[in-house]
Amino acid sequence: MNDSDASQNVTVLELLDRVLNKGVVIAGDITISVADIDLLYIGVKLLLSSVDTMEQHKKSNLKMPGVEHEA
Amino acid sequence: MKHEERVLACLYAIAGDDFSETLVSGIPGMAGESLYPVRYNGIVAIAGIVGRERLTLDKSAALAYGEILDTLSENFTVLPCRFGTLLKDDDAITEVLQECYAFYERKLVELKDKKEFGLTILSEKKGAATCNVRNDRKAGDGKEYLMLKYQQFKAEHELKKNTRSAIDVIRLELQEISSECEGNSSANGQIPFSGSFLVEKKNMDFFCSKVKIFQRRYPELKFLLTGPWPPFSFVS
Repeated sequence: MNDSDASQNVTVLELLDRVLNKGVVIAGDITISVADIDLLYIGVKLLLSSVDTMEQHKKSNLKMPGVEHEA
Repeated sequence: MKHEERVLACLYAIAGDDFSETLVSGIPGMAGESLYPVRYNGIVAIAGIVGRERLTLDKSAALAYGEILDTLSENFTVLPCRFGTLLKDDDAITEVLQECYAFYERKLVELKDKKEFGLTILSEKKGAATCNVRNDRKAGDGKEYLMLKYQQFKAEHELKKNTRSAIDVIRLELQEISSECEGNSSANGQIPFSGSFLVEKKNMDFFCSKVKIFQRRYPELKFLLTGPWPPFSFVS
C-alpha cells in the first residue's frame, strides 16, 4: 500500500469514526439497519451496539430496554 | 392491497440563522431525497424525508452522510447529528428543537466559524528499545543477560519519558491556537496521542503548518492529521 492509499484509508476511517460515534445525539427513538439486520426501533444509546451485539439480541429475541420491534 | 411505504424524517444537522435555504435544497440527501429546513425560534434542523425501503444505513451511506455534512459546514455553522438519526416526522423534529433549544443555541455560538481537526500521533521507535538477547547463552551468562534486560528497561523508560515530554509540548502548543481539545495521551503503546482540536477557520492553515513543524522536530513520531471536519467531537 502506498502513502496515498494509506492516507485515504486513514481519512475514511476518521470520517466513519466521527459520523458513527460522534455528533449530536437526539433523545428518542431511531431506526437503524446494519448489515441486513431488520430495521429496529431502538433507544438512541444502542446505536453504538456493534453488529455482533445486535445480531445476538436479534437471535436471542430478548426484549432490550427501549426496543420495540417494528410491526 | 396497495403497499404504502413508511417514511421517516432523517435528521442531518442543526443550524442557526446563517443557514442558506437555497444551498440546503440543492443538496441531495443520502437516499437522493431533497433536504429541507424545519424551523424553531431561530434555529433550524436540516432534514430529509426518506422511504424506509430506500434507506440502507451502510458504509456508503455513512460516507455520503459525511460528505453532506461537510458541504453544509463549509457554508454555515452546523451541529452535525449522529448518523442514522431518524424521527417520525417534522413534529418530532420540532419537539427535539424545543427540548434542546438552549443547548443548540449555545453550541451554535461556540462553534461559529470553527472546524475540527483530528490528530493521531504514532510512536515509530517501538523496536528501538527491544532487547537483543542472544540465543547462544552459556552457563555464566546470567549477568550479561540481566545487563541487557536492564539496558532494555532503561531505553524503554527513556523513550517513554521523551515521548511523554514531546506530547505535552505538542498538545500545549496546539491548544494555544485552538479553541478546544479533546483527546487521550498515553506514554505507553504505539499511539501516544489521539484526539481532536477545534480550530477557528482563520487559524486552520497555521494549525496545519504547526503540525508540519512538529513532524520535522520529532522525526521519531508520526503525525496523522485529518480534517477540516465539521465539529463532530464538540457537540455532545
